[in-house]
Amino acid sequence: MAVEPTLAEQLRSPWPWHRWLGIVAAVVLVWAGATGILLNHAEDLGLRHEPVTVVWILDLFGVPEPELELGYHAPLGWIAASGDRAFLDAQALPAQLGDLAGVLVGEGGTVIAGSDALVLLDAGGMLLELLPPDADPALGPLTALAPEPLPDAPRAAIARAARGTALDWEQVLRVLHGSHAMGRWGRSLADLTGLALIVLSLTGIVMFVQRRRRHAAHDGAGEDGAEDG
Amino acid sequence: MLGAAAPAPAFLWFDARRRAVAGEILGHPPRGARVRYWRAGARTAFVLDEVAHTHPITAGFAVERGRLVAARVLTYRESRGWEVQRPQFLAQFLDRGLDAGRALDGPIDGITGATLSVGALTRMARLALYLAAELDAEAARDGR
Repeated sequence: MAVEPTLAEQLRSPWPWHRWLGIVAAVVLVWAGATGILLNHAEDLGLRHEPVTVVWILDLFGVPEPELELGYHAPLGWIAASGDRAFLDAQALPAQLGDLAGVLVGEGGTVIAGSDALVLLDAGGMLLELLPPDADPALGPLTALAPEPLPDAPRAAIARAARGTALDWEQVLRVLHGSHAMGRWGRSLADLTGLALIVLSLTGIVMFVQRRRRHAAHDGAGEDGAEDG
Repeated sequence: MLGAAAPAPAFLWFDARRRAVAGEILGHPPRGARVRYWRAGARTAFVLDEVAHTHPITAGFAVERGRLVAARVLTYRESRGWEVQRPQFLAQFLDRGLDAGRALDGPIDGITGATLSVGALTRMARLALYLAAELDAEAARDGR
């Protein structure tokens, strides 16, 4: 009848350590591996500059609701700035614009003037050019618009878009991939996973050596038996 | 780049074909429906923007008879890779043209830590050469 090994005997063996540490570490490693692969291919997957629009994720990451007061009512829509980014309704204007300085409209299109660039849009809203701030827009006669208080609907649309540009999916993945996502606990978990990997490697080597010895002993016994016969 | 008196700018519009080719060169569709250029004699200058890592580099290129005759970084906004502004680096672009695959017909030595900026400048140089070739072809068609 087989005798059940005692707990002390079980703990002396590398097998249970290897098995249970392997299972626990696998959870963390699968997570790190999956987020790592996604991060590696963030650009190919279009995650690099893809804004996060999921409200609860924005809340979770502490992205504040932008405060919008004034905007420019152009024929193409409302143009307003939130932080260092300007928007035409819910559409983000090129980041190169800098701080929104003013809007000029004419028959040839709309010029959105920023501290760092001019954005030229044609009458249909298509981007014509991005120019240095002192360049001649070459769009014919232009009239400067005065800023006005933003109505509720465009204010909400621009606020939503502005909040989204504050966080992209690659940034979310970076946080999820890194141990700092869970603060102090995350660091401890990363330490423990590292430790588990070291123990897994060592127990794996011990088990490999033990198994080889057992096989060698078994083969030797078999050969002895053959000689005996 | 074009001599003492800069000529008035003109516009080259991206039609579907040019947009497709420019997209191949840049790895993304060109931003904007038109690009401004300055032409004096056989020499054409472009001011182009291309994102290296997170911010666009603004660079000027002058092309004459299918060869780059000037390359300058006008505004560098990235936090790393500023070495691409050095004249010694930019000199590598001079006298480069396009091969059949619209790549530069000579190597550009990279700079450690500025790989993305070197890539962005190389793409802009290729685009400038392509656009200049388009203008040259237009001028030849018009008998100018």
